Order: sequence, then C-alpha cells, then structure tokens
Amino acid sequence: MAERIRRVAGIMIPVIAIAVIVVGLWPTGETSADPEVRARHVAANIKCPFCSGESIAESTSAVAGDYEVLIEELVADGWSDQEIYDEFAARFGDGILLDPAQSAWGIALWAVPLVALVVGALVILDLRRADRTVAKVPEEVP
Amino acid sequence: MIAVVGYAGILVALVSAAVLAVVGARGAMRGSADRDSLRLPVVGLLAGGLVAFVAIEIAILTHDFSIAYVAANTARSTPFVFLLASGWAALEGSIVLWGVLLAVFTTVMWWTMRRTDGLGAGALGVMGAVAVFWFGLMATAANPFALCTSVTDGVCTASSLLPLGAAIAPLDGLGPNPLLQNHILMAVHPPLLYLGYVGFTVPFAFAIAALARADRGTTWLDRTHRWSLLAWTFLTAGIFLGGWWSYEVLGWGGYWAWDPVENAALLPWLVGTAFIHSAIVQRRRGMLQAWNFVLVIATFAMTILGTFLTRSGVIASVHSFTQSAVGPALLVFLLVVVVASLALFAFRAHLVASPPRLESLVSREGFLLLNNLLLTLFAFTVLVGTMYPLIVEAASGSAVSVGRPFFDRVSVPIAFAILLAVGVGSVAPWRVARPSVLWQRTRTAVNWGLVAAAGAVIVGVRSVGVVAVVGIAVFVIATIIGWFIHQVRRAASGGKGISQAAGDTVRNDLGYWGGQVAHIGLALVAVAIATTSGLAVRSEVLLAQGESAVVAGYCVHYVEPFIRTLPHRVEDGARIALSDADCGDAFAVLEPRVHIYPNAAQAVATPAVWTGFVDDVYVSLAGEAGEDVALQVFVFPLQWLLWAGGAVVVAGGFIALLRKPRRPVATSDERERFEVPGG
Repeated sequence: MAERIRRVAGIMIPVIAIAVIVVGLWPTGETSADPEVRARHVAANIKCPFCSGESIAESTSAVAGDYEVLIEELVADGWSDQEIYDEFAARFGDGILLDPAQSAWGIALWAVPLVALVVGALVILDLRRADRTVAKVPEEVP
Repeated sequence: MIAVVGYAGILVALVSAAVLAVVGARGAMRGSADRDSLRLPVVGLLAGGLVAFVAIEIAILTHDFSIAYVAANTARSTPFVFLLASGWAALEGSIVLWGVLLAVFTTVMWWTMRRTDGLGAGALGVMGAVAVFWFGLMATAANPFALCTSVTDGVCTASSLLPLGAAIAPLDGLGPNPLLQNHILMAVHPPLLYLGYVGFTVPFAFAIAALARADRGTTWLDRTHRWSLLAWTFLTAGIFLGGWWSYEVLGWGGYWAWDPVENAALLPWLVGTAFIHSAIVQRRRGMLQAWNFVLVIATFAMTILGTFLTRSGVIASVHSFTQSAVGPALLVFLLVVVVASLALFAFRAHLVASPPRLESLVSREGFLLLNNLLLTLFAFTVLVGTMYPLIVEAASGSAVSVGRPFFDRVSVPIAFAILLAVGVGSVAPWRVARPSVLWQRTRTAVNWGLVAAAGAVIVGVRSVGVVAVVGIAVFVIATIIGWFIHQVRRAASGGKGISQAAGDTVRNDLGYWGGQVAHIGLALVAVAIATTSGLAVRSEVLLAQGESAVVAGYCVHYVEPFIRTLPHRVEDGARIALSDADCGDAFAVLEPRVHIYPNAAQAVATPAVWTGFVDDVYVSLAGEAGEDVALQVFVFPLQWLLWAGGAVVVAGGFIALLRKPRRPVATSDERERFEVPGG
C-alpha cells in the first residue's frame, strides 16, 4: 500500500508541478509597455558619451542623467527603440551603441562564440572517434 | 633614507630572482638539483621583497611625502586602514604587493621541495624568471620609491626615476583616489585578487618545468593541485568582494557591468576553473595531458592580461586608474610569456601528450569535457568581446563598443548549460554512465526542481528565466544532497552511526565534497543573479522634505538633508526613513549621499542599502539633496544570496584544500621521465 502511494506520488508530483508552471507562465498577451522600463532598457544599451565605459543607465554622472531624461522624453514622444539608437549613433558615432548587433562587425562578433562552440564540440567528438582507431596501440610507455 | 632602503630591497630581490632563474634552470636540466644551492637566492628574493613592502608602508605611515608615491596617494587626513591599503592600492604599490606575494610563494615552494628535486628546481627557476620581470618593473618604470623633485602649489609635480638626488617634500599629500577610499572592501578586494593571480604562477611554473624536462605523468599536477585550488579560492573571493564593492560604492544598483577590468578578473577565473576540472580528468583517467598544459599557460597569461588591462588604460574603464610606461612593459611580458610557453609546448607536446581514452561521452569525464568546452568557450567569448573594440579599431578605424547586451545574451545560455552539466555530471560514474544509472541518481532531484519551480510560480514569479533558474538550481542542490545521503547510508550500512558515516564519507574524499559544496554555492549564486536581474524593481522618485513614496511595497520618506564634515571628506546627503507600504513606523534610516574629497573635482556618489530577509532596498541620490531630492530606489530580491552563495563557493574551495596530497611528493628519482623506448 505504502509502496503504491509512493509510486502514485512519484508520478503525480512532477505532473502537478509542470501543470502549475505551464499555467502560471502561459503568455497572457499583454506586453510590458511600461515606458519607464523601455527607456531604461534603451539607456542600458547606449554608452554614456562623456564617461568612462559605463552605459547611460549605469553612470551616476550628471551628463548621463540628462541623457536618461532625454531618452524618457523620446520614448514618451513615441520614438521606437531603433529610432533612438539611430539618433544617438548619428550624433556620436556607432561606438556609442553598446550592442553592436546591427553592424557587420557586430555580426562577426556574434559568429565568434558559435564557431568556437562548433570547433570545440568537433574536437571532443574526435577524441571519442580517435579512441576507437588507436585503441590497439599500447597506451603508456612502461 | 627609507626610500634608499626600500629601493635597495628591490635591487636585492631583482638580483636574487635572476640568480634563482639561472640556478633553478640549470638544476632542472642537469637532473641533479640541490635544494641547498637554491637557498640563498630564495632568501634574498624574500628578504628584498619584504624590505621593499615594509619600507613603502613605513613611508606611508610616517607621511614621508618626499617619496612621490606617498605624496600622490596618501594624505595626513587619510584614515589608518586606508593608509595601510594605500601601500598596494595604486600602481607602483600594487606591483610591490605582487612581487612580495610572489616571493612568499616562491619561499613556500622551496620549503616543500625535496633535497634533490629536478622538477621543483625548474619550477623555482621559472618563479625566479617571473620575479625578474616584476622586480625589474619596480626598479625602473614603476619605482615606488621615486623621489619628488619639484612641488607646485603644494603638489608634487615631478619625480626622479631613481631615489637619488635632492628631494622636496610637499606639506601634505593628495590622498587616495576617492573610489579607493570610499569603502573598506577596497582594502581587502585587491590583495585577494592578487593572491589568486600570483597563486596561478605556481602551477604555471611547474608546468613549464615539466615541459622543459619532458616529464610525463601527473607529478606536476599532483604537486600543484593545492596551489591551483588556493589560487582559485582567493580569486573567487576577490571577484565576489569586487562585485560587492561595486554594489556598495558605484551607486548604479548593480554588481557587475562587464567592464573590461571585471572581465579581466573573470577570464583567469574561467580558464582556471576549467583547468582545475580537467586536472581531475588527467589524475583519474590519464587523459588530457597536453590540454592541461595549454590551460595552465592560458590561465597565467590571463592574469598578466588582466593586470595589463587594469593598469595600461588601453580600454576606457572605471578601473583604469593610471597610465604609464608600465602598460607597454606588461604587454611585452605577456607576449613573451605566450610565445615562449607555446613554443616550448609545441616542441614538447608529442612527448607529453596522452592517447585519448574516452570510452563514452556519457560519463564523468565526458561531463568534465563538456565543462571544459563551456568554460573555455565562455572565456574565449568574453576575451574576444573585451578586446573587440581594439581589434575593430585597429582593423578598420571605426569605433565599436561591446557592452552588457552582448555579454548578457551570450553568457545566459552558457550559464544554463554549465548549471545543468554540474547537476548531472557531479553524480555521473566514470568511464561509462548508463542512462538508467544517471536517471536513478537524478530522478528525485528532478522532482525537487520541478516542485521548486512550481513554488516560484505560486509565490508570484512570472519571469520564465527566473523560474527556470530556480528549478535547475534546486535540481543541482538536490542531486548533490541526495547523492551525499546515498553515500552516507551506504557507509552506515556496515553498522556505523549516521554521524560517523557522514564524517567518514566526507573525509574519504574531501576534494570531491569540497567541489560539491562549491557547486551548491554556484547554484545559489545563479538564483541570486536571476532574481536580482529578473525581478528587480527600479524607480526614480522626486520627494519634497517630509514627503513619502511607495516603491515595490516599501515606503521611502524624505526626512531631511544633512552635511557631515569628517577629517578626510565631506558627506552631503539625504536622510531617508524606510517603512512598510503603509508608511508606518520606520524600521531603517538610510543615508544616500555624495562624498566630497579635497583631492577630487567630482563627488563620489555613495548609495545606502537596507538588507531584509528577502529584499535589498538600495537608495542612491540622483541629484543634490535640498528642499526636495531625486532618489533612485531599487529593490533587489535575494541580493544577499549572491554574497552568501559566493561565501559557500569559497568555503567549498577551502574544504577541498583540506585534502591530503594523493601521493607523496615525488623526488627526481621517482619522477616519471619520458624516455624513448630503447634510447
């Protein structure tokens, strides 16, 4: 009897848990359109023009604060994220954008981890294959 | 006077290091290395390094402003702790600390070597060669004892390169960089990082010596595995404390910005972690001999690269405190290290490489290989991302920035994969793991993970990422604890008591269980990273005096502005009362403020943090406090778990360190030296 309860519980617990997760996280269709969140996201992707290596969102300098307000205003005026990025890039050069995904150089950067992953995986698979071919060779010199 | 003594110390250490390099190398190649022949140079290196270090501290504590370093980095009003820390906080002093740590480690290596020990002598020779660079740097481009030769408006404006000639002392020094004296963690974080950085020199030195002698086998790994663990543990602690400092001081409400210098500390950590794991594979299964050499060389190179990025100012960063001739010197040293090590490796690889013996990808060693793949991929990506702006500018002249968006997006999937691999890999059997065995060992933990994820949904978490991390993290922790219980039960089945069985289980394999404690810490850290980024509430409020606002269930009330004058700085800020959402009785008073230092034009923003059972409430000024005040209010759920998880990881490192060496230290007679058959 106890064994049976345990076995039923062993099936029911994960099933119920998965059901809760799926129902709870099911997309409701509302997108997060909170302008403050959007402005912050945009500010995090733009480098603070006169600071050292921080984004506008991260920097506590007065300049960054001014640009943060500007971005909030642009968002409120209905600018899209891309339009804001383009505006900053036009004013300060492409180097102002922290996410380089838009340019050719940016795409090249994205290729780096992917290529490295493929090469690494191939090497490991090769290790496995090489094992079969050299298995007959004595492994250690005594 | 003290400058001359200190500089003499540097010269003694420099000469001793050169002698050590030559004598060590000769001993290693002849095979008849005599421990006694190395005593004098080792003692000279240690004594010289200590004299230099003590001299700079005495000069600072006695306010000897005729020394340019003291005049530039300390002041009479600097508090005692920060005076002490100034000995290593700025460029020249940090190199003294580096040198003295290297000397101490070299001495311990010499202490633990056998009477005749070719490998040990060779490793000491490499330590000597590395020390020549650092003490050579101190003697020339980064001389901490350079004298102040001209003073304008009370500020030392020029210095001699060498401590010779007439010195002029300004009446007071400039004081430390404001960021460096703003928080007590700054006194601890750099030495810990340096212990890690310098510690990785030891396995590197043994690896180079083993390569030069064409030593096969795991002797060099056996003799350095505790060094690597020690370095790794300190580096881990240093990185976490650095994150904490950033959180407490920089005021933007985060702890990690993918800043080049933060990346510079992460790189040796990632590669070093890969090395510690792949060393296990070689020690247990004889695989990956050549790969381990590559990893340890890469780890050491990353520590030099990290120092270069920190100290050269080549990449704009909040950490780039100084620019000087030290940058080019470090770059040259880095290139020499990489080229020379890899050339040596290329000549010797065929002698030390082990035949691959991977029976199945689904096995403990298979998972450790996966770990290596993911960690080195992570490191490579961070490296390329960090250097990319330089590469692109050199190649095309156009400016590109690589920041948080790129690093976040790349690291999240890699981190998920690492976490999953940690959970399954830790309990996978060696050689071949049948899926049924893996499933049996992880089934219960999978249920725990699902229940935890469902629990997160029930308490209101709606972020898919956070729910996934909670589920996987609990899976990892449950797998490890379940496996521990299983082992203890098995040990107890012989009639032992449970507590004795548990003690025996841990004692029998301290290395393994220390590693598992670190894995549990990693899972906790992952949860904290997810909740503090995925569930954070950020808000900016403008309050008049006496007004309140509610942010994420907390009431912030602007009590009054204040100004406090301390000997070394002025604190200007707002007093904020924190209470529950109904704005009742305050349970905390926070003082977000700016610190104004006499030697800095720009004030340093200093946030105030309240830590509760669940949330951190982080308040920082977004403008001057007057009749009204603009505040940035952040609420970070489970922020404390990040620091606690970090402490668990570090504790795991120390537990693993308690383990006794697997084999007695090999003498040169016992060492496995590769001989060509019949030769």
